[in-house]
Amino acid sequence: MPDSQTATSVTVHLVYLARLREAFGRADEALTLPGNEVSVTAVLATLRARGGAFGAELASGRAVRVAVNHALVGVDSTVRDGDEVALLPPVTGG
Amino acid sequence: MTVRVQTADFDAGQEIATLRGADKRVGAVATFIGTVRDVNEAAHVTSLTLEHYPGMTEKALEAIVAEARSRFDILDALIIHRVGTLAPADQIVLVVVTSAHRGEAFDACRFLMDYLKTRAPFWKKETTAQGTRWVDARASDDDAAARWDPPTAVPR
Repeated sequence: MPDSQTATSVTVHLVYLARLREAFGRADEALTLPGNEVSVTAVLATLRARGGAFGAELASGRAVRVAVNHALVGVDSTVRDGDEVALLPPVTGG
Repeated sequence: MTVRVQTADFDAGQEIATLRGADKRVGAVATFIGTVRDVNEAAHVTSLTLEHYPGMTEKALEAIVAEARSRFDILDALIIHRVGTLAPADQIVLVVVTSAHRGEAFDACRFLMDYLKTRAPFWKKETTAQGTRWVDARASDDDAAARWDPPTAVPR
């Protein structure tokens, strides 16, 4: 079995951009979840369960996109130990 | 191809000349420049601050240029996007496309802007007399990007 199978938790580096950074009062943080591999959905659910600004900004129906290691992903994708997971409000460049 | 994210202003004429170089295959150069308006949703905007996601932004822009190259018969492309605090009338973004013929150059230039508006991690925050606020995304931008999807594509 690969070594990763022996891990019992996943720690990701969360990054909050623009409006979300201001709403959450922080630019980034580490988050540890049990398991070898967790879904983006599970990460969002954990944050949402904190309530307050996290509950409001991540409520279902709010348009938040997720980038893992700088690439946009769907909520059904998974994250691994050490990944950078960014939460992005709808973009407004150009 | 080149993508740049910078606080400094740009000289479109100089950038166009550099992109064309001495390439005699170029028969068309299409350019788009986005600038800061002083009015948005009825309030007078005194300044606009552009934030991005360092590390992802360049990759996202490069992916958009690569997509344009795969869809259109173009010779080269350039995207410059500014970040930081800008004033009304300042330049925000430059897109330049070179091609043998105008049709592909026009189409690729429009495609690059439509995709940039919906896929590149930039955010605008505007300052008015009422204070500061993050600019909301527009459904019309999603519609503009969706025009380039094949008719059978599943909406993302």
